[in-house]
Amino acid sequence: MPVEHVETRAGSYADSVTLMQVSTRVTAAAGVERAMVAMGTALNLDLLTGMGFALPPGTGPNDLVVAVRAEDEAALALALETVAGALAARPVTGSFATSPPRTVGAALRERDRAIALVSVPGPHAFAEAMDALDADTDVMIFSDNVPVEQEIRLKDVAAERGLLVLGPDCGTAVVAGIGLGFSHTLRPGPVGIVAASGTGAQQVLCLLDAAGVGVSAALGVGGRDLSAAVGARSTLAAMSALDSDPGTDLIVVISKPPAAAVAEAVRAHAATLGTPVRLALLGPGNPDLTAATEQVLTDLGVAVPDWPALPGRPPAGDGTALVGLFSGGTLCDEAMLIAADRLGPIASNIPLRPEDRTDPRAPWDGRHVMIDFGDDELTAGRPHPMIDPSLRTERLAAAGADPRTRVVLLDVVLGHGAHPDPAGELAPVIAALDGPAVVACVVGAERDPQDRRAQMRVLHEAGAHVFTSNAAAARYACDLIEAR
Amino acid sequence: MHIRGAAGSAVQDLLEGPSQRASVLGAGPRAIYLAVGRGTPQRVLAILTADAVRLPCAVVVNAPLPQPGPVATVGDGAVRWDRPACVTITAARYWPPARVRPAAPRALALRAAIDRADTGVADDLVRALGRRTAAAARALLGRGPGLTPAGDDVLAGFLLGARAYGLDAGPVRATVAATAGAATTALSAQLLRHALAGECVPEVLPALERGRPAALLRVGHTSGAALARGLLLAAELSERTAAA
Repeated sequence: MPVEHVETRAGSYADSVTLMQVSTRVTAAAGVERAMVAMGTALNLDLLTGMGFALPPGTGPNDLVVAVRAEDEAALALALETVAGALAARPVTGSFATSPPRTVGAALRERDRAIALVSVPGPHAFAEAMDALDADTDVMIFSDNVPVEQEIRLKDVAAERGLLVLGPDCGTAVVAGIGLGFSHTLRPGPVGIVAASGTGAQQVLCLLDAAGVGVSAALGVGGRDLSAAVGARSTLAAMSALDSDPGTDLIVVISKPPAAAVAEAVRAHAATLGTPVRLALLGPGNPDLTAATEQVLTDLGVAVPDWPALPGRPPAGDGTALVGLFSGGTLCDEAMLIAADRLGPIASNIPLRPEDRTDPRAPWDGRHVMIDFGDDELTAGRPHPMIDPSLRTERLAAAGADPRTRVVLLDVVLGHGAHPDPAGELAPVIAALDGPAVVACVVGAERDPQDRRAQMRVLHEAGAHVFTSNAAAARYACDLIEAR
Repeated sequence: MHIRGAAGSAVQDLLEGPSQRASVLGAGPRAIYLAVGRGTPQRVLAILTADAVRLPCAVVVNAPLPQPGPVATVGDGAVRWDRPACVTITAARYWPPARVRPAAPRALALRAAIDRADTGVADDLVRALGRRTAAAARALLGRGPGLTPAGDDVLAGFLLGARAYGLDAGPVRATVAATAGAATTALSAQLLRHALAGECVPEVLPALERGRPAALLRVGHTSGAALARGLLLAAELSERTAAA
């Protein structure tokens, strides 16, 4: 004697495929004549009625209907167990879940215009970047430790296809108004930047911002791009890209001095472009980044402003040494170039001359010293000092308590991706010093999330001399050393 | 527990209006669907995690979803329930739902891309919709067993495509507007009302404007494919109309 079971369950939603599978499984169970598990929409109720099921009055479209006709009670019980099991076992993703793309290429193929940002450990970056190039997409490689031969291969493939490779070790970029990596809140404007130096680019961008000048794009090409091996492959491509951008009136190339042949290639390429190019090559005898920025402003016919600065406490005690503690490598380089000219050799973990090399972890011998805390040697296994300044803060406290110190020189880099309140971390330590003077350069844009003015004020109130030009800060630190 | 989310402007009136009782239509790890008030047709508000497909009627929260109780209230600025735990969900901001804009049909690209996709609806029913009659619309409304029956997804895709491509949808629009509330699930009827207003999930736009349905085809098991099938029908009809 066949038995029939019809029940409705309110608040029991499942997607179409799940319910079809449940219906199929139950219908196939031994002793089941007919079965349907479905939402009670009008059409489904018609189907159920057509199958001969009697429906409870009031069954509506938001009810899940379970209807089974089996040959006996035992078969029905088994069938209902199957329904319960199948509904309980269903993946509870709901009907509107999506499966995310699993590869860079798959993610890119459905988009018209995109840029891929690769930030995986260096040894794996090549495959991901090549996948992006294969999907006809420009790629920014944030990763460092990418072998140079892989960098060259990627840049050659990009050149064949008219694409751009930014990086490897590209820490900052502005593309289509969007900042990538460590970036600032900048206004759009006429200057296009090509930079082989992350913090160097950040200094120029923030000074331009302080002068009211915005950027069309900032393309980081990686610190090795202007080496003899890589031969400025991305620099030349990025210059061409900016040349064809109608929003770019002036191109600025920022780098340490490249090999002579590479510098010549960059100059020759610049001469072929319709857009004027200003080279800012940081090195002995060359203008510093602030001077280069001032040249850019003059090129644009914009008045050079007084770069914002706030005075601090003069040094006390008998100290003689300058101690620079930096999170940005290029800012450290620039400060060393300025200080070496005035004070003589500067010991460093990234020295200007090999003979000035010092181990950043060894006890200090009392010489003028500048440490780049962002160098690989000090970032292995820990975040970059722009994110986690604790190592540098400890060193600041130690140097400040050492009677040999006369001036501590710091950079404080703001922006997206950087520490949310670097001045707040440093201020109590600075305020507690009673001997040395502290000179700090705040690299930040007006509208950065940390609020540049507020950060400057906090450092100033703690007693620091505060600058927005790293070169001006370094010169002022030298003044304080020489004034003794 | 207080969770702040970002809500579609389509549900701003519900959230900020007077408090109404809501019942839970269904819940999963990425979505809670609430039927709000006792009006006809019944409005639906979805609470979604950030990785769920962004329905126009959603509050998107950047947190794991709390377990919903049997009864909730929506209004006076929040979604609230007291059991099994006290939960308040508010909208910190509102976003405009994705909307279709006038576009050129791309039937060829769409056809190639969705050729083998399973839509969950018999193709003769879809082709019949090409006649744009009330009967063809009624044959699809509520067809299919699930949360958003596949027939409704085809209708929604067709309505969105017709709007974007400037195709007269004929009595299909009127039939859906008049009968969806009774003929299909509350959530599906809500999404059809959005489609009538040109509002959709954002994955529809690249398919509709550029003939690239890859993202749309990943929506749900068959929902995305059924939406794409409806779009394709609208694209084919409007190309044919233009040629004639």
